[in-house]
Parts: sequence; structure tokens; C-alpha cells
Amino acid sequence: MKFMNMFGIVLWTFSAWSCDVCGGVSGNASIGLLASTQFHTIGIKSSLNTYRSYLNGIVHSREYIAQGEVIARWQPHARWQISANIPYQVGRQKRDLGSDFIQGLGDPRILVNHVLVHHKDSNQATRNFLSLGLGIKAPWGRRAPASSMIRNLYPSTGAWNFSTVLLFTKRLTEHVSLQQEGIYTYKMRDASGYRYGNTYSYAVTVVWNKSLGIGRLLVGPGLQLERFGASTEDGLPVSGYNNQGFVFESQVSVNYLSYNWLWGLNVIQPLQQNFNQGSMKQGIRVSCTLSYLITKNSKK
Amino acid sequence: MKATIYIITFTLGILFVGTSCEKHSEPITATLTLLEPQAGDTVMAGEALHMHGTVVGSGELHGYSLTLTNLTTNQVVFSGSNATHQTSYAFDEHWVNMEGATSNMKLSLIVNLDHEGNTTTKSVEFVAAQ
Repeated sequence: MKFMNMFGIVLWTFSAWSCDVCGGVSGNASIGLLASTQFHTIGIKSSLNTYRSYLNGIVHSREYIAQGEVIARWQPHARWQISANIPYQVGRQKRDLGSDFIQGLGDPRILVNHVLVHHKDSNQATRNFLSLGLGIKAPWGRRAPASSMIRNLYPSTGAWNFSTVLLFTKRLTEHVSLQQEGIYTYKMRDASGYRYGNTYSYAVTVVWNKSLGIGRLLVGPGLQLERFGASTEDGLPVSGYNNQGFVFESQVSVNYLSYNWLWGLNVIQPLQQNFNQGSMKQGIRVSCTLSYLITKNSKK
Repeated sequence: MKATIYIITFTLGILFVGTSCEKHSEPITATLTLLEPQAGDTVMAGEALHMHGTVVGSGELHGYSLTLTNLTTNQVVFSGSNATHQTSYAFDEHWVNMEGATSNMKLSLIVNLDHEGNTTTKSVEFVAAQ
């Protein structure tokens, strides 16, 4: 377990992917430890997102989006990390007079992250950490037909996304650090000309870590603000419901690392939101992650 | 002590009677709104009709149904119902025009005000074109 000291206290709570499910609501974040380039990882993640849709303030449908993902991260160099994931999504919309059920492969994603600053103390514990990541989401999953009225329920948006992630972590005390993350996602349009608006998000998390039993416990409460731009069709603003809005959320991550296994639980609860002219509200989001950490061969 | 018991019993009795009377004296009403389609709309072949509306009751309602009928062929092409007891409802459904010939259509929203058969209805007529 000596690698735990190397591990630092950098917790990657939100990833680059502001997903387009339900018009962009949901960070669709993969949780993982952005360890100080000591490990490759491979794992699985399960998540459940809930939404409610309104008409004149009256609920007319409920949406449940469940995802299972295979996630992996490879660290070819001390300052370079490549992470990727492939989701499988099951979406259900329950209305007063019927329901729809759509499942299939989602869009695969890849993120290349470069560590710009990594200061360590004499114990090799991280003090300051700054990284910049560039990501791509490819529209290779199951997408909605052009005429579909339930576009948001499909696993794929049918469009390419390009993301930039800037992450900064500062160690405050031996057991506490403060992490900030900003994400900007540029979205292309799909084959029918529909384009979701670009997404911005900012998250701040206090990460507390402590040795516990046979492993190490990491707990990260925090806040996140996500902002969604308006959708367009053939370059023109979509009239009516255009998926524009914001969501301000609280979140907490609990992780436990032991014997190269990393267990994670992430819960996100919206505090304030105004999305799609109030016609849609995001509910609680829960995700569980299990990753296996593969120690890199040292070539020092 | 006895006086206190009498007062409590009397007060509870009045409250119970008052509540019971109020329940039967105010008949439930409902406001039905059909946002889409609008009367006289035309839905072209292969296009989706958006059926969008709300029901707001003065009290608890006993469900509603939505029926789309082709008046030209006298066939029901869409129907759905919700039997849950709520004070308000909203619906958002779609139907694709595959009728094959230009037809007059009628969308009917029927709300159950009670279980004695009292209902209130709102309808709109439009055209499914070819």
C-alpha cells in the first residue's frame, strides 16, 4: 500500500462530458482518482439520472436514464493521461398515457489530459496539481431518427463534442485539499442539422482523505454549476423549448481504495435550476464506480 | 372535567359535520385546455401530430381519457386513459398521420369528475391531409 502516499489527494469528480441526454442536463461525469500518474485503471460505472417534464407547471412525464460504462485510463507518461469510456444506456420515459423505452450503445469518449503543474512535498504527497485536458465524443452510438419526438431519450446525440477541462487542486492540510474544475464543451450538429448548445460547468470540491482500515477513504462534498446554451436547427435558433438553462447542484463523492481496488459512490442533488423554460427538472443523480488500479512499471 | 369532555365532543362533532357538508356542497369542476392541435389545423401525411394539454380541477379528479377519431372512417386511431386521482393532469402525446386519405379528425378529452359518471369534455377538430 505504499503507493497511497504517492496518490496525492486529487479527486477527479467531474469529467469532460456534459452529456446531451434530456437536452444537456447532467454532467454524465465519470468519477475516478486522477492519481499522480502512478496507475493505469480499468473499471465499470453504473449511474441513474432522473428527470421530470412539466406542462404549465404540471408533471406530464418522468424520465429515467440508466447507464453502464466501461472506463479505462492509461498513463503513457508521467505528465500524460488518456482516458476513455464506452457507455450502454437504457432510457425510459413514463407518461400519463404511455411510455417509451430506448436502449443501446452510447457515444464513446476519449480524453487526453496533460499535467501542467505537479508540486509534491518531501513525502511525495501532492501539494499543487494543475492539468489541462482535451476530449472528443464520437457520435457512434444509437441515435434518434430525424423525425423522433423523443430525441433526448436516445443514447447518442448523433453529433461530435469537443471538450476542454481545466483542473486545479491545492492541498490545504495533510488531509484536506480543494479542487476546482472548469469544463467547456463545444457541440457539433447532427446529420439532420440539429445542434445542442455548448455547455459550461464549474465545480468546486473539498476533498478529505484519511487512512481507514485496510485502505484509504476519500470524501468529497462540493458544488457544481452547469450552464447549457440554446439548441439550433440548421444554424437558426430553435423556437420554444430550446434546452437552454442552468443547474446548480450539490454533490458528494465517497471513495475507498484498498488493494488496488477503488470503490466510488457519487450523489448529485440539484439545488436550483431553470432549464428549458422550466419544462424539465433534473432529479437526483447517483453513480457507483469500481476500478482496478494497475501499478505502472517504474523506469526511473 | 365532564364539561371539558362535552365541549371537546361538541367541537369535534361540529367539525366533522362541517367537513362532510362541504364535501358534498361544492361539486368538483375542471378546466380543460387543449394547447395542440388547434381547431382547423392541418397535419400532412407522415407528419406527427402533437397532442398537448392540461386539466386543472377544483378538487380531486378521477382520471381522464384522450381519444383521436377519424370522422371520415369513424375509426379510433389513438386512445389513452389515466385512472389516477389527482387535482391536475398534463399530457404530451404524438400521433403520426398515416391515414392514406384526407380525413376529418376529432380529438376528445374527457375528464371524470366523480365515479357516478359525471364528466366534462373538450374536443377539437382538424384535418389529416394527404
